[in-house]
Amino acid sequence: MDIIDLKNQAQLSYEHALAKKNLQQRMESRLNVSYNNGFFTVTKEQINFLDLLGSQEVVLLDDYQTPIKVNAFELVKIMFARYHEIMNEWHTEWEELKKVRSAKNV
Amino acid sequence: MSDVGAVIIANNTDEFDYIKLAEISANKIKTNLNIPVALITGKQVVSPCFDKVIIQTPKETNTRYIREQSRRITWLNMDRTRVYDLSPWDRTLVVDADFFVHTDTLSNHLKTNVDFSIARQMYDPVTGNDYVMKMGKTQIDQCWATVMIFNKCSLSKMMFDMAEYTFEHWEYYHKLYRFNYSPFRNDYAFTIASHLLGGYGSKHFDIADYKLCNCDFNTEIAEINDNNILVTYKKLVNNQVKSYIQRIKSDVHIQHKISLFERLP
Repeated sequence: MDIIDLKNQAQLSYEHALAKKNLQQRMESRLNVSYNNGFFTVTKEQINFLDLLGSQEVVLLDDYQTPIKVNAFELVKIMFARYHEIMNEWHTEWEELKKVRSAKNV
Repeated sequence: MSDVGAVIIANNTDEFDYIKLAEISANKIKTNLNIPVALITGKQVVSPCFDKVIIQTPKETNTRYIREQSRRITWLNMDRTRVYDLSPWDRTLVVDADFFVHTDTLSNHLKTNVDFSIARQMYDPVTGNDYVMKMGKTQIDQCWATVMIFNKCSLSKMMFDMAEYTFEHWEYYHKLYRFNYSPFRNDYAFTIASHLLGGYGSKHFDIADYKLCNCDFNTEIAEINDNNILVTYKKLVNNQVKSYIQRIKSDVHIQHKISLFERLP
């Protein structure tokens, strides 16, 4: 980026709230797993429900409304790992966003 | 599914280096989705960015009016309906060259076995709003051929054949669905195909829970990086036009072609 670009950038404004919304959109779109050819959004409710089932084999409707046979214990482990991965990234980026004070730091 | 990969169609025009754009897009796909990428183009291309290059003479020239420059540009985008036959993969992710994959969001969609899915839900990263674009005066939900995932199967074959049929009878469908005759839009062809094959709208073929992040014609590109883009945009605040900047790290579709090509590294 040359000096003219930098000067122009310094004139610009930055919307913190929008950046946080974009972050939320990006992280929520990644909160999903695939299992046995099915596609599942990771939610706290789904994790709780699967945890309750223990090691049972159950049939769940995935996000494409396809019934998928799952091992609850296996799927909850995968979901839990994904949940941790995404939420930790979300937290890290959220903390970084808080440090942005002006457009030139974007 | 044994063979999963992406397909990008790109043909250079007199003004724009679409192959270069496709190279950038391919690198981002490989980094974030870890799948091979095939390029469909009119002339031989030697590039390490593509695992396969499929030569196919572009069908026709399309034109689009660029408001900022008050002129028409040409682009060669009429081959989307041939992707079903040309794709070397069993399960294919088709993306526009101006769609940048910055996350692994699509990865789990590629691991499912859904036969055909296409983007419909949208997200605007400069307003933070979700929306669904409507097509023509009939106002049916518009699908975006920018991102499609399909298996080689009878449903997908029908979908692509129907979209091709729409192009062949564009005059008829433009009157039936009451949209502008020009330009020819892949989005419209696949919207009509999805509408007809989905029982006149009773079934959608959405990529589940996927919102296509779209930078529209008013959002300019300031910088293209490995895992994000910097955009500038204007908003009216207290009767004054104010300029803003935002870094976009989502998968993103860019419609402002002039600024996009100006900022190609």
